[in-house]
Amino acid sequence: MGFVNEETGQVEDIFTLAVKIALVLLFFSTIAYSYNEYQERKEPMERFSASLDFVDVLKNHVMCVRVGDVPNPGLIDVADFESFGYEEISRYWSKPYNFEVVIRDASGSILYEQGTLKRRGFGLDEIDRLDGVSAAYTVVAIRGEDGVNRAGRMEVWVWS
Amino acid sequence: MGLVLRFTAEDRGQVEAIDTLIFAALVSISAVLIATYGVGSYHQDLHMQALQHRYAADFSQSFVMTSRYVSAGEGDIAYTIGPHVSDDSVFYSLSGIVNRSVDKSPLERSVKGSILDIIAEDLYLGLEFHSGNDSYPLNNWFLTSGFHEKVNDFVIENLDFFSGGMFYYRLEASYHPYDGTNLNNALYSEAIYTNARGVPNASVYVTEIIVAIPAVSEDNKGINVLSDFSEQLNSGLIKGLLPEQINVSGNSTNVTKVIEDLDDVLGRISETQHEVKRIGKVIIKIWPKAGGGGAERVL
Repeated sequence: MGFVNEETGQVEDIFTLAVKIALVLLFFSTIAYSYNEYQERKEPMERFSASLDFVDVLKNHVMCVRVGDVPNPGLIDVADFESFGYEEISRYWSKPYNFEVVIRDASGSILYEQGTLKRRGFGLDEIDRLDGVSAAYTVVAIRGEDGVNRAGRMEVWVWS
Repeated sequence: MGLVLRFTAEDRGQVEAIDTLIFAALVSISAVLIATYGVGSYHQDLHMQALQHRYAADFSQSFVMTSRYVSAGEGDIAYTIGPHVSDDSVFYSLSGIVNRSVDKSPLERSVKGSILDIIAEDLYLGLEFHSGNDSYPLNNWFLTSGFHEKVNDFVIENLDFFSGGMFYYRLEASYHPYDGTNLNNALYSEAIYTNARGVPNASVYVTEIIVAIPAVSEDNKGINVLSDFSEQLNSGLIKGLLPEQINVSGNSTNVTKVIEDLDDVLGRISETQHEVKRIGKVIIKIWPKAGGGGAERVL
């Protein structure tokens, strides 16, 4: 099949246009993909940042032992656990995520748990079934009923 | 007369094809650059670094606070001065070297206190004379029960728990009781507690804290006390109680030679009286493990 010169130019124009459209689509799809990646990375960082903030507030201000009015940041008394229910700690949480606060002793046993899962009657192992969970851990000193301070760990789990 | 380029339709098609290829190349390069570096990727990396740095800082702060509160249990850390020493007066002579005081029996002691207190005790009892390439442990001659090993196990066990498998840590503890004197480079103690094989680079988070050396008495004539001790060594009062061979810098050495070296060091000390410092220093270096246990749950 032969083309005259003008027909050859038209075919090339169509081809050129198709390539340009394809490239523009590729360009925008790359941007869309990149933005999606950005969002996927941004949200975990926001969750993680929120969990760090919450750990800091609970450990150093809300749950710490006070002698008179003087706080002892990082020292938590097991005798105070009952006074820190969901309502008491959630008033310090302002992010649009769910949270679960867990305090363990050195052997890993849970001494304290409060948050969305417990409130809804789920166990902590439900966290393994959730997607997009961020967690911040920190060490705390836990004053036991015998008055001895032992090492423990506070965990704040956050998810959408 | 100007230059006029005229294209035939075929030429024009070729030019447009080349134009399209150049356009395609530009768009492809742009897309790759945007995907790699664009749409906030750079700022995300900065944000990530800032978060990790903050986490390390928070962890370090928590470590310092917690290690001031957490105590060794009763009998967790115990040591004995002896067994060669059977005379209390000899022990008190020894304790005078480092001005230590004891509560109950001078021969048996259980350390109670925070992790930092125990590190301070380890520093205090780990004083060594350094002469040339050799170091002579001052208290280890009498110290038994593997005190330093117990301290190391206790500290490492707690720090491993603190780090949660997500951080490397390195605690560099040091005590220079006669800072600013000739003795500064001869008598000091150092201890390192770490879970890392290498030394971190300069970008790690570093906290420096002061620990109180617990057993230093009010006596500020430390150098005189050392000289007294040296005289007692020469007089044989203590030498007779020491083993013939002691371990110096990993080698078995005759104790007489050690005492001679000690005399030599003391002989070169200025007679100026200096106050014994009552503080040691702990430098805490913390940095995240790349892919450490559980790290994937953090971000």
